[in-house]
Amino acid sequence: MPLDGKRICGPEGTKSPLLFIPKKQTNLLDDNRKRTDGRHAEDLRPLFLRLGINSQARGSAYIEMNRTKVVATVYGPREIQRRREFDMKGQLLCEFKFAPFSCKVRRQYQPDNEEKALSSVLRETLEPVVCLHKFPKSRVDIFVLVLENDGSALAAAITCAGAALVDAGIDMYDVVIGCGLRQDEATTLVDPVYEEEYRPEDNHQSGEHGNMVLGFMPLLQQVAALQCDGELQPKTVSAALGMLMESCYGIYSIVQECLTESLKNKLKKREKDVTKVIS
Amino acid sequence: ANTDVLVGVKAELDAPESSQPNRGRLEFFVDCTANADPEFEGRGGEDLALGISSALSQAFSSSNCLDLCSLCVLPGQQVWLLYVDVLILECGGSLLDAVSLAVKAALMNTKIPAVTVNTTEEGSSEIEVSDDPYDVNNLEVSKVPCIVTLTRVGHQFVVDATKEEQACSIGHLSVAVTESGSLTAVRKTGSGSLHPESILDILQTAQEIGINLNQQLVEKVKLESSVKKDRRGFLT
Amino acid sequence: MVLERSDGRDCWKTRRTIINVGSIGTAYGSALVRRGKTTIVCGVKGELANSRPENPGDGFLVVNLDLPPLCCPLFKPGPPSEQSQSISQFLNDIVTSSGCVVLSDLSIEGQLVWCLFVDIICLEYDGNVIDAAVLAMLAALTNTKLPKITVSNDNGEIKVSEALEILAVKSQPVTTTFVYQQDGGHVMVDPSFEEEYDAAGILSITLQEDGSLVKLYKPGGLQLPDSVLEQCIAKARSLSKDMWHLLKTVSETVET
Repeated sequence: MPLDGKRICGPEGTKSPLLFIPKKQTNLLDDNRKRTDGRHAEDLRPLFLRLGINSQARGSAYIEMNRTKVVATVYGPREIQRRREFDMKGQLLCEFKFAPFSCKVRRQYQPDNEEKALSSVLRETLEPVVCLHKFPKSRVDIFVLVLENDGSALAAAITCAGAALVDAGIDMYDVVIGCGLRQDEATTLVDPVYEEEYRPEDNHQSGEHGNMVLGFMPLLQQVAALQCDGELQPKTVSAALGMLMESCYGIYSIVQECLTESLKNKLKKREKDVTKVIS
Repeated sequence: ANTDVLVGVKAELDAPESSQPNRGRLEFFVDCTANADPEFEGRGGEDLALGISSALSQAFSSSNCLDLCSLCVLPGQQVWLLYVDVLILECGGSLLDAVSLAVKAALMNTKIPAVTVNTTEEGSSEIEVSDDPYDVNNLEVSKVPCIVTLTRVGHQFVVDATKEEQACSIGHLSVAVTESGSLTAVRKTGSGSLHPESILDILQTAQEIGINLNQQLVEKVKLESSVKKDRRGFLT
Repeated sequence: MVLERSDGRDCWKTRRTIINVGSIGTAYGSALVRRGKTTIVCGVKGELANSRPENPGDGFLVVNLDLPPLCCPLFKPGPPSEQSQSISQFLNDIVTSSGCVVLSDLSIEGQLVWCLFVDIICLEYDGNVIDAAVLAMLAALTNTKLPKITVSNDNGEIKVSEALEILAVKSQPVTTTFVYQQDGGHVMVDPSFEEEYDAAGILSITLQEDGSLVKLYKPGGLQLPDSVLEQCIAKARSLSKDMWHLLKTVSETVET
């Protein structure tokens, strides 16, 4: 780890106390087929979405799924400063960041490989959703910050960034909804929390297992993002995909409600401003 | 154009990650040389390199792919760290697929020196590397995946896309397949979207091709190592 | 003549302050502070470290402020700006000179000590991050509970118990920031982004509850007559009282 000269660093070789806590093996489902947080296998966590949380940004959104908390802001379209070649299509710049205190073990400020990879996944998810041809030669910046990661951070980031783009009034083909899933042999858990997410290091099973994340455009029925890891068969992926799409429609209805609510508020505010100006 | 990649594997003894004290480490490093494309000069190839290395780490993320626990020498203190260095020499399409084949072939060929751990009387441990250069262990690679990328051109999907086909396409689905047909990673790349109904077909096709590819690769590598050829030049 | 600021405030009036503590479960302590539209989150994480030989038994407290590009259109991705570097240093100085956390309290056993990382992130930048960051840091530290660590005598094995201990916060430094125009005219407290941008100089006064001055920070800018400085210190004294009251109310509501 290169030393970060522009930040205040602690002593070298600090260790998280978590390393000294023995790992507990818990079952994903208890005897009543309930998950650790009391949900059924296909249940989603309650979702809270709010738009316009940052007045400096062109668009912004905050999403909360129990303890998973993600903020996204959108700036632009801005002019691209250094351009390699002329492009009629606009560009997206995505930055996916975990706050240092957002995970079990403290993260560094400098982007690590996981954050870089997630940034590019997020960009490739949003590119098919945004009408890039509407803003040639320019770039839209999307910044996502995870404040607390209790599982399904990428899925929450996709939904949140999509909502922030809507709030910013960027032309889009459809909204985009993210949802995650954990497969463990025959058990399929939708919207996993951190403890349920698949982690290769504490897994030595022979059966099918893995994690999936889907970014879905519900109206156009298009898959904007699909990520799987673990060890799965095509049929399982396909079946899980069906479940994820079903869940995405569920999330979509909440997102839709939130978007209309925010639009109504915006219109009301504008009406007020107009009457103020007239009087 | 052809796609040419060169992969080297180096092993070093190093401390394990503190969160996984009894597992070896695997690190991918991809270098896009300016030879392959003038655009890669300076930092131009960085995004592509990062994309390839993250795709490889994702494909190898399942603990069954490469048994990292077998690379542990002294739990919590010394493990083998495998550096997989990928050098991109020429890009002619299907780069990721070619890289994954080369990585698997290189891992098949990797020989790790045999080490013995001696405990001294005071209770501390000493690691001794065998003097015999032929006293080596091979890696178990039967579950190492190959990546098959299906590229969407119009309404069709093609495998092993050429550079021209890639230029016409906006959506790809990369699937990492093991010899037994398990998918260890699936990722959509590119700025396009896919229809959910086509995905099962793509995955099944990828699985079929992937199994075949794995078998052919293993056969080819075995043939290559058994026959002593009159080699002229390193890359031919 | 009474001047009205662009948001309708009086020159000596601060914006509304909201403090919310303990909302981030992955941190040992956390706080969210809103000052007007300026929004700051602070999380405290603890890691185990070995103390330095020159200060045996002393723990570490590392404060960093991040002004990410998401909080304001002017900030660009990349390494931290000079502004965030200097505010980080300012916050560390406050911790050291106010002694709000005594470093020897962070010792565990022998060489083993806590290293507390206080990470402060701005979510929306509308001026005066300093005051909000100090409040967030203090509220998060007051809210911090660390797991009890024991080291076994036989083999030096470290055990982390589930019992939590409250971090002792000894004093409560509070910062009040002013901006002024040329020759110390038009002094305004708690500047918004615009006011900060147009100011000829900025002045941050940090006080403790016993009324002692912890830090006076005036980075560059035009000169300031000492009569104005005294006026500002007097104002800061009265305004800080509201903040101590607020911090007290917050910690009382959390306890009950």
